Amino acid sequence: MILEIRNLAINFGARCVVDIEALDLRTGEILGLAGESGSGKTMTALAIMGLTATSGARISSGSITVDDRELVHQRDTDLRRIRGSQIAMIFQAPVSSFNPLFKVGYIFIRSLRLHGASRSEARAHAREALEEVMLPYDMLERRPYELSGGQAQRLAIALAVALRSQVLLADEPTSALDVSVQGEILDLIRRLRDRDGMAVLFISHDLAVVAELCDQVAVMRAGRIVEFGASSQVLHSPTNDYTRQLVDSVPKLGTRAG
Amino acid sequence: MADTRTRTAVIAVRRNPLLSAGAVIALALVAAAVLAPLVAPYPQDAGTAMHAGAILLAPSWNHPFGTDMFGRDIFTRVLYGARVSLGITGLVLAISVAIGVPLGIVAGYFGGFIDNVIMRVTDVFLAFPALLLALAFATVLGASTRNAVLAIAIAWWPWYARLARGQAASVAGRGFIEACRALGVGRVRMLWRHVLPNSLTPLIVSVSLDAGGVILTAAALSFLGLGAQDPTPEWGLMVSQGQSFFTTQWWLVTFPGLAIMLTAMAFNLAGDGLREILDPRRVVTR
Amino acid sequence: MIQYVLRRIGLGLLVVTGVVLLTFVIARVVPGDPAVAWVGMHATPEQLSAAQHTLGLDRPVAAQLLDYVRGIATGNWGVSIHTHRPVLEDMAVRAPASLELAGAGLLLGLGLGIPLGLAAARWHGQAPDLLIRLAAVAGVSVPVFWLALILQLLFFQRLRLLPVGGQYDNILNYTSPLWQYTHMTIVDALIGGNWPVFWSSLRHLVLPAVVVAAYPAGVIARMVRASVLDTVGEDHILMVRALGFSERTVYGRFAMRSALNPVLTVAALVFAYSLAGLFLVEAIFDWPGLGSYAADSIASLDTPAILGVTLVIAIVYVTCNLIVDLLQAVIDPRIRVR
Repeated sequence: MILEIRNLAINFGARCVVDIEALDLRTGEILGLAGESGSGKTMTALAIMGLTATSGARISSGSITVDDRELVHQRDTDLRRIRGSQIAMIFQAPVSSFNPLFKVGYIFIRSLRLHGASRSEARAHAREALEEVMLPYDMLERRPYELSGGQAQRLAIALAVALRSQVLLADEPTSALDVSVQGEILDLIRRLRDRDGMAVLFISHDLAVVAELCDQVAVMRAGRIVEFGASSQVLHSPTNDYTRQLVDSVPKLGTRAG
Repeated sequence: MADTRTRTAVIAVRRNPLLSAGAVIALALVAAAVLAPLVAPYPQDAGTAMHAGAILLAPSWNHPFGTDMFGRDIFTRVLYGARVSLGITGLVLAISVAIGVPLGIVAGYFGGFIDNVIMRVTDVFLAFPALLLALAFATVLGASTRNAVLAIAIAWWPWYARLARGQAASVAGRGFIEACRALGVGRVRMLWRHVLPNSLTPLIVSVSLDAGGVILTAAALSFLGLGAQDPTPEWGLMVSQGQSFFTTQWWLVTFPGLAIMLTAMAFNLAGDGLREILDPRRVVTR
Repeated sequence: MIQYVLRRIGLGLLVVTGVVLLTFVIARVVPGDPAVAWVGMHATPEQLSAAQHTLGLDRPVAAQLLDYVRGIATGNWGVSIHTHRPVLEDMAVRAPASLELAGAGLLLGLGLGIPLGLAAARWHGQAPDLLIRLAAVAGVSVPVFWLALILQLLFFQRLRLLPVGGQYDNILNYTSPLWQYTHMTIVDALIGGNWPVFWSSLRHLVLPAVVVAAYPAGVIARMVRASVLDTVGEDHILMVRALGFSERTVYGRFAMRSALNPVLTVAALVFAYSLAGLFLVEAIFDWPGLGSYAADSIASLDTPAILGVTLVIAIVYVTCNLIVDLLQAVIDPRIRVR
């Protein structure tokens, strides 16, 4: 068990936007966090990173442990050491996630050096990681707007690999990509799970994708988890009304294998 | 529509302490200007007066801001100065808007030759900092409060012409104007009832932000001797009069100057707040 | 793109021409007879008419205008009635001092405005933000002449820390003569290693530069704050936070670079606006630049000199506006179409 969330409550002003009793993530597991926009999925991921303040929200109570280490209400200096290196996050709009005024490689190498690598080590790690995601090393010389969505996303994943992250929080990583490119990214995530034992929290509103990729699924609605279980079970025989509605609204779901 | 605007206004005021401060000071200024004759301790000192026995007194209970070289109470004169400054500012802005906005709207709406001519004229005027232009005109017209108002207004109107023209040009391109034309709405009517109201928001913001600038320009003109003349209690003039005594009688310069600064600050803050309320995502550069 | 540049330069020239016409007209309307100023109050009628002939005042107005315009184009900007030297020469001697002051003001304005704006954005909504915003508004609202007088009172009169005026202690002309390269005293002193003059001119430069810098610093601080706050909400900032960079790096390195773009283009404009203040500052601090030259010319009704200074101001202004427009067109191609 690498990530454990217990009784997490996040408030936005006076409003409670997330209320999770329990959520676990194991090493080598891909856990899907599904639900409509506004259900609190992204906020949960931000809470794990300790970045709820960027959205103006606060963790009011609860515990989040990564590798048996409590994260809630820690000092920012301690949390910063974990961000990127132990827990990595990738986002929905990969190209705009990179600062347009810098070469991609700058952020890459600087992040590695921030977390303790020397210059040569950083370059070596970067090279390995880029090979793993099948991108040429000179891609680091490019600016973000010169990259396609798929390339940028693979680069973001490469960064997580280079930083040796144990947990990957993927917030709608394929929602903005073409279907064909989607498949590549999903394959990549699967490979990371198989090869490195990376634990992945896969956030998406797209149930078809969740069904294809994830081992287990948690369905969120209005900040709460309303259903949890193995993905095939939750999606083919949901016990909750809301889940059933979601499943029914996806036409192809019944025809997919597995 | 108006309801949400009022709500945003209230939220903006509550969230923004600087804006509230600015609004409060601005209101206090207007109050001072209006109530000066009632509140001032020595109303007769606002004009020609001479109290030989009370020359150059330091600030005291009787004279909170001290007295000047004629023995006149400076606090009274500063209060009355609010009238002068606000009056000048109001007139200048009124005249500038009255000249600049119609010209700008005509230029923006009709485009072509008219647009070019009007814009070139404004270009020439805008080729100078407002103060220097006002200085030039004041020199030509002669030094008096009235001429100062004219001089500054002449320097200021091109900016409004520019602004109005930009707005009118963008409004003219919009769909509903075409529709009006197709329905046969007359030109003047069109300008008055459709183009003008839609161009107003940035104008209002600009006017409120400008008030501070006008006050500073008017004070500078008077400081140089080209604006208000004695005995008018204009703040810039008072600073200039106090200059020769400054090293020993610091109060002659300090208080009127402080008044200028606070007034300009109040209008700037209020203008900022207005901008936030009316147009929250805009960055106005001036 | 080239079209746009040429068009804007053409417009600029047109404006300058318009300015020449305007100033000529104004000069003709100004009270006072330049011929009298040239020969003095006690001249004989013959001397007066001779002076009128020398100054070209006896020719028809149109001809005078033509002469003037032709003169401008060829570098003959007239002869100063006061000093009896060519106006252009007089101005060239005084210009470096103004450049020095204006440059120092700009550097100070940027040096204060950018960090303060950044700090205000970083501690957005808290005490530092409010204080900085208040200071920025104060900087923008303070009357230049009053600030100059107050600073003089404080630092010279009361604290005896800094000198009251002038560019540097004139005694140094004898004890430590300065070798002139750029004719900007402080720069020359630095280049030539002339430390007594350097320190003296630095001490003399501080107060006037602060006064000149007040307005630009205020505007720049507010712009930087708004710009950084806009930037900080963007995706790429969230990503670098998620990578573990400290807030200081997030603001200082990543946010600032994106935020500075709009600011730098406006800096030139803001600087041009503060030039009006230069005039007042030079007068109060007795700074030997173009501003005090203009003041003297106006006081002595030296028409050619006044025209010359006016022209210079117009050219500087038009050039600054041109630079800003061109910079903006480079950054945002949509602007070129209008």
